[in-house]
Amino acid sequence: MDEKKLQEMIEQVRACEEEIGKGIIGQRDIIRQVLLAILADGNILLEGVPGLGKTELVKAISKVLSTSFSRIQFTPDLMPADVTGTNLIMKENGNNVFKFEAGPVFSNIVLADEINRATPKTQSALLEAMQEKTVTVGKATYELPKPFMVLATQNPIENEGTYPLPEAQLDRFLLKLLVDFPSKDELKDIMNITVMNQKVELRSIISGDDILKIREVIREMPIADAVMDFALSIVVATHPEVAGAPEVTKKYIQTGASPRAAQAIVKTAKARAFMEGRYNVAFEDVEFVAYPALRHRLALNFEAISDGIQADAVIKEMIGSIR
Amino acid sequence: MMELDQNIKRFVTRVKKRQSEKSIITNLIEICTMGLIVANILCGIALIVPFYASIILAAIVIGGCVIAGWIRGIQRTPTMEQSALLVDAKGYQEKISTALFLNGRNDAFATLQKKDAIKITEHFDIRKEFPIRIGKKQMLVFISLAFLFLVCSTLDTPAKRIANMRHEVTKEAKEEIAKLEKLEKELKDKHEISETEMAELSEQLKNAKKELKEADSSAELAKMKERLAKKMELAADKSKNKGVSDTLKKAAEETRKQEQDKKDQLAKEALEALEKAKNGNKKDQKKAYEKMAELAAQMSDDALQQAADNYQEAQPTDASYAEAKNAVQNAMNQQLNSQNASNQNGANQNASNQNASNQSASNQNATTGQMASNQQNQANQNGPGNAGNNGNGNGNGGGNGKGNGSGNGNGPGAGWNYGSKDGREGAAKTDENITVPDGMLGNDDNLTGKANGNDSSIRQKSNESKAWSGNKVSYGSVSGQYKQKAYTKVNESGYPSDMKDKIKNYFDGLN
Repeated sequence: MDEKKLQEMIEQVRACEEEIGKGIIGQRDIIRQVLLAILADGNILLEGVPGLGKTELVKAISKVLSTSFSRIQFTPDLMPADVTGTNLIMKENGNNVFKFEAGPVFSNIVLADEINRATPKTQSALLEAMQEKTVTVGKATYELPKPFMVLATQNPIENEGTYPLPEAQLDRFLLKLLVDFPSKDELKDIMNITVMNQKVELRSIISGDDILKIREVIREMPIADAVMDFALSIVVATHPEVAGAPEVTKKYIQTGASPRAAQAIVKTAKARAFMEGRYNVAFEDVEFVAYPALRHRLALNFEAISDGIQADAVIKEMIGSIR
Repeated sequence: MMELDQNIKRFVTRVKKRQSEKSIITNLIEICTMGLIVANILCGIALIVPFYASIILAAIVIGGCVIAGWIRGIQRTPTMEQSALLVDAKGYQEKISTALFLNGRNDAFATLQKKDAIKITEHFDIRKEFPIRIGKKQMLVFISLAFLFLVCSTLDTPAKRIANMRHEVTKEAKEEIAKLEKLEKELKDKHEISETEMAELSEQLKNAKKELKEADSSAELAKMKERLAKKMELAADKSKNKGVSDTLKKAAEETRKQEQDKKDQLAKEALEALEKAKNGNKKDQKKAYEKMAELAAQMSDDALQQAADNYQEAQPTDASYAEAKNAVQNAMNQQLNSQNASNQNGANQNASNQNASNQSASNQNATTGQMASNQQNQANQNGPGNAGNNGNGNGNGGGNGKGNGSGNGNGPGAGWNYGSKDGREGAAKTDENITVPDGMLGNDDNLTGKANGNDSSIRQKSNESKAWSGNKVSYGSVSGQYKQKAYTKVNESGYPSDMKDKIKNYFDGLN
């Protein structure tokens, strides 16, 4: 790999970012972070009120990446087989045989829309797919296409009839992104695209194979000891039971982040450094990705909830105490 | 590839060196400031209290602080990794620290990363980015403290002079004690000496060492040495062992000779200073007077006497002689007055406290001290050029006039009177004459006069100064009278009979 090739890859990713930005007005940070998760080989949980373009974002990404895409609308009556697929009795050469009919999960990009509306049983159907990239039905295990990623959305305000995601499943999401309401100018552009006759045609920029190659390159990205130390210190600092934990951790956190959080931070920080056109990971990369990588992995205690403390505020204070 | 690594390392080493310089300078100033505070406190104390070791201690403290500051500065020097991070903190996104971390790695990413880092090192101005700046306030405090220390350590005060004098005395006493120890060892090892005699000698030497340790002026030390020589001679005469006798006599001679040499030297210095005062300009004269005063303070009675004799023999005619003479005299008076003050206190106390109830052990000591001082007086009267009997009162105020024998004559033979205040002469008093004052205290005198030219006057009361020569009486008669008075007072008192017996036994023991 030479510098030129590396620069080409960086340019390719930046072009993707630009192209997605054409279809999704505003949300620059969200687009950047989604791409980071894709390059870091992770799943994303998008949280935001209805109508902010979460589903549109996922659709735009699938178009630009020229990968297969499927959407699963999660509802309380959705069954695991509806997600993973099931064995059906079929006639083959005059004999009845069981044949596996693949579910919508067999796609490069799976949109799990309103994931918290399905029962835990159905939500759990995604666990194996998200972590192992395989699906087991009966005695057979089927490998999912590469690259594979789940982009789930959830609505934070409607709690009735929802099933909060279990911690085990939350931990399998590389990043949790908070989709904010767009600004007035952005809203105007959204109106122009959606209400007026302006049409935006997104073109495919990058293939699934290219993504896999870029992932390989990113894994080789060097990270200095001091930076690695910083990333690990942040994760360790989320544990109130550890000696020397920051005061804010002791006060507001019930359970700290798992080792997956450290992996998530380092992987995503590397991807960010790559997208920034650097050949090394910096402290600022770690700090940037620490928020989306940790916010869904911290179990806040009752005191935090009663004080109205958000996970991001706790993370900010923790980072401040470590730096 | 190796070149890239070396360039990165070289750059980081330069940064580290700069950080080290910065750390050492900062820590040196920080710790030395604290050291200077302590040193100034020590020097400040030495200005008002005799404290010889103050400058040495202050120097040790400052020296220690310099070393501590240096060590702390080195300890706080950042490592290579930390130095690289310090550069990165200037907005270089950990490129230098990663390049250092990748030292030895040759993969594509590492090479690209190092090349990226090298670009930074090419235009990075270490001196500009890491300036060595010390806060104005901090520097001002440091310089002020250093200046203060310089002033305090060079300033000459009476307390410092006393401290120096005491130090010299202690040093000399230690040398003398070492000699005594050597003598004791020699007596034990080389001569066949009986246990009783050895025990007796050891006891005497032990007492002599104790006295030497307690000496607090050169004059006192000189007298102690003279006494020591006498004791050694007595012991030599008493000893039947010829070897022991010879050794002791030799030691006594040596002690005397040394003391004599010292006195001669001091007298010589005094004379030289006088010559300088006589021939030099005013500045030189001033310096010479100061030297004379210094020497006079260190000189023993005999040396002072010798110096006085030398002046007389010199017969200078010009005006500077008078000045020089007065300078010496003033120095002498200064010394004598200070010494008399302690003796007079003892004497006055004794004179006024005739009643038995106040006849404590301390009074007894004071009295003995007076006796000793009077003996000294007598010795002086016998000396050449001593005009003590003819001296006029020194008229320096009623306070001084109270004492006995402190009147200094105008002639070079000052009628001084001092002795050891703790009465160490007591042992040799039996056959000696002592002086009993023949006068009473000066009468009260009312002085009136116009204050500031106004009609109203201020009335002041003072004691009329009076000096006397004193009569000589035998110790036995004084002791007898003293004992009789004590007996009478004790008998008249309401003390329990056991206590009365104890007090009487005490006075009996004085014989």
